[in-house]
Amino acid sequence: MTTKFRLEDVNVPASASDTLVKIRTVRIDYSTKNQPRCDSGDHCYGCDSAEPKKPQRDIRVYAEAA
Amino acid sequence: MYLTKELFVIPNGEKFILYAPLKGAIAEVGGKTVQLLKRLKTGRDIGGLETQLEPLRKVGIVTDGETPIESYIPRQGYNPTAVTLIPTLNCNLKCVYCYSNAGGEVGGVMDIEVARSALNFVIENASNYYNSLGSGQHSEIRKIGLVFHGGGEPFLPGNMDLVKDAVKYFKDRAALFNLVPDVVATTNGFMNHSTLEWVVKNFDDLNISLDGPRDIQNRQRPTKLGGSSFDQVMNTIRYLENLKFSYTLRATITKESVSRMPEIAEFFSSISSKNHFKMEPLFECGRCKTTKTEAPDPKDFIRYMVEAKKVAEVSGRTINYSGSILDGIYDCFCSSLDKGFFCVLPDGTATSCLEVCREDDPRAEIFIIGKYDKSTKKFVFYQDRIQRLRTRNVDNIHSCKECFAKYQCAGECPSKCYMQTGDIFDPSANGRCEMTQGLIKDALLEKLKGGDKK
Repeated sequence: MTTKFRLEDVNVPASASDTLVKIRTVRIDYSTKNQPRCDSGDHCYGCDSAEPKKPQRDIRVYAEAA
Repeated sequence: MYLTKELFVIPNGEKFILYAPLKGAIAEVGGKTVQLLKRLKTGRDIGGLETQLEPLRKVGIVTDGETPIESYIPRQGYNPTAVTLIPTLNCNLKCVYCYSNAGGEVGGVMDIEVARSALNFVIENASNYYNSLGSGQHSEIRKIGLVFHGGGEPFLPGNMDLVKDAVKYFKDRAALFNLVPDVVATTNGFMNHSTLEWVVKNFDDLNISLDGPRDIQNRQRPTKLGGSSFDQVMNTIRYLENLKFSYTLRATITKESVSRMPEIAEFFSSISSKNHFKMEPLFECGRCKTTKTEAPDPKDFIRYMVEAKKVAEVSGRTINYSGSILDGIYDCFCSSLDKGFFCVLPDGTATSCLEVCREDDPRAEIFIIGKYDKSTKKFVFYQDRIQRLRTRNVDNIHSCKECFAKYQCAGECPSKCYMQTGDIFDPSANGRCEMTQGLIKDALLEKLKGGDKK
């Protein structure tokens, strides 16, 4: 299974025939609700906390960095 | 002109998906654009084609420069504001894949003194936390959580004295501290009517495990004596529906049931008014070893999850697998790696993983983080273990560094990683990686359908 998905990791045929102008973009509106990532259910507070919903630390850091 | 730092490229037929998770940006491009971006990344001249990349600049994939991402600094202190109680490891069902082997031998029930001490601890933490907030910083919500979970089944008749006492004590104490209690449970739904009546009056939400139609449920989740559980669980769901009670249905998907995921989605939609259901792939552990119950093949799980989602969409429902939620980014898998998860086992042991609920579990030395001390009537925590877990961030996991799904799966479950490789930092043997990648890619493509074509 591939785990490398950087620009340098993908091979593009030299004969790629597409044009540059066909670019489709979309933005994701990130939720501030912490979503469960483990398989134990929605209600264990293992991903969430009792504190009010807010962006996780990492989102704040990255948002500031951006 | 530069490229954003966290940019991933996912081949998709003759095209490529560009995904910049920290920008919340997705783009679908052809090979020539990728070639151009490669030139840009290596500092080579792109021959006056900057304007062609304007759509990528608008979503932040191409930038004029960025502030460096701050280094990860593990949190200090352990002050959880929610507690999960596992009242017992006993169960009235004997699921073929149970991670804790519940439904076998009969064990004890948590002492009320242990439960009350745990509740006092989180109430004090929550009160201190909210009081430390300035006005306007969510201080009006003051929510505090109490969860009952297995282990075994929390609503067994033999547990109810403990459960009822804990809920009443929690609510009374929360009121004293002006906190808003949130009382929830994960249950198998196999409970008698008087218990059910009490639960709906005293709980805010339930997570019910139901694996699908009758034959799947009865095969995978039989009673302790080998009987069928389906009718009883359906009675519970009908009762909750009649009362419009808040609950979630969750199915464990095995190798045997994976091809029936679309049927399970249709079944859930037919019995429940809820808009959202969960389907999770089995992780082989616990009783799987003796029943030989197998996890689904990752490719099958991806294929049938996509089909199940389409079936659910027809009636306006969604199906989620925990690894494929696109609408957030995270670098810690769960709160045991960050804020701190506080789960108490029947004997007063504190664990930071629901699945590590026995002291002879090989993961105990990693995830058992404390113990109730009868002499002081307080919990003692092993701070070195808590801090060690906090060093696990997705940026510290070598095999995740270049993966486009890293900020959704956040390095996968450290407990499952340890089971497979003996290292919480090594998810390489985990089949969920392939599932997560496949379903995140599918989610990105779905998002792109609504994007702007330039």
